[in-house]
Amino acid sequence: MKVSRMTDQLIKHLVSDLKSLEPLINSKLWMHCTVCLLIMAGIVLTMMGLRADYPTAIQDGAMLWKPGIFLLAWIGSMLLILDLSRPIERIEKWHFVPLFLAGTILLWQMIVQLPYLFSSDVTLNLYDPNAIYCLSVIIGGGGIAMAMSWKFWFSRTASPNPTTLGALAGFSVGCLAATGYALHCDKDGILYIFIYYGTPILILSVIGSLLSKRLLKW
Amino acid sequence: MRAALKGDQKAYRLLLTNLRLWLAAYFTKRVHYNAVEDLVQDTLLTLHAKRQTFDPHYSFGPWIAAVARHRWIDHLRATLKYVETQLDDNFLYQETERDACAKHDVKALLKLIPPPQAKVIELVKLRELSIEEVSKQTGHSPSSVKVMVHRGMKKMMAAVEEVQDDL
Repeated sequence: MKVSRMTDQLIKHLVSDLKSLEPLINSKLWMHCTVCLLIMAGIVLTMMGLRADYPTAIQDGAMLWKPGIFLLAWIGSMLLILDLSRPIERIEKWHFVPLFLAGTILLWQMIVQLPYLFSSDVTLNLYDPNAIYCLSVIIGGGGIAMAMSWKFWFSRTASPNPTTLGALAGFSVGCLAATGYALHCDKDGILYIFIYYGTPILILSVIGSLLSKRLLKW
Repeated sequence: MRAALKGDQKAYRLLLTNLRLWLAAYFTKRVHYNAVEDLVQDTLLTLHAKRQTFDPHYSFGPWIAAVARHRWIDHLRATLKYVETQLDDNFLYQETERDACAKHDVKALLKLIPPPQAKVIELVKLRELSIEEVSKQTGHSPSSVKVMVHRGMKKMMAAVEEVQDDL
């Protein structure tokens, strides 16, 4: 009886505390992240410029497939984030398609570049002093985008799997920043992409997953 | 719920009052009766804090069932941890209310794992026999009893998370 009265009081308190609240709307996250992507690409193009060899890169497709990998991975991770943001887990199978396409392009490039994957030119390219820009732009830009979207979206979610959601948040902003930076970067070696693009994306994913353990529990 | 999201207090009161009965029935089927009211309150608090995650384009039932299930799993996790820490060598043989809740929940969960593991866990965790006693009774070595208990508890947790909601 006593306990029951406590529930009555709780209901009374919750009702008095009720305020009008806007539900999470998927299109708003898309808009927010698209704006982040455009700002990111704008900053990279204004401050660093389009890659110097862009006429050749357009001809051989590098201008398309390199940012394309990260753009597809970003779209795929966004779709999965939206699936995991609410208590009911509704993962649609087709939401893996963009990630699968990104993986396919990566694999295709690995096969194409395999004959000269470990040649001295490629290895020399790995010691690129400009790689520091790649790392800092992806980690810095991705970090800012993650902080913004965390406040705007992630802190309001109730995911059945918070750790995966946090890791996807990091992966998604990493891919977003990588898409922007890929417009400037003229290094198309698959090893270079794995090391200098993959590492910061991995770091952001780990940070996202660690943060989620504390901040996304509900 | 749609009206509540817009700030309609009357609709919200009606919703919470009706939900309270539904939640009590939901948890009564799953946990010891002493824990039911706590879980109902906990779920109502969660509903209030996370109401923005309700998508007005979908129905409310599956959403609240998912929230209640999440709270139930959290409760089971805490209960299983409690059983694991309380029933070690220094266990004091006191039948507390919380202990009774934990035993009730573990009994229900034992049905979800293979019988040999369930038997060992029942002997160690519920009948409170020592590892050596269980080892003699079942014919397994003491270390294998420990491993079976550990694996069984892990399976129980995994099984809980995989359980499909029947609502």
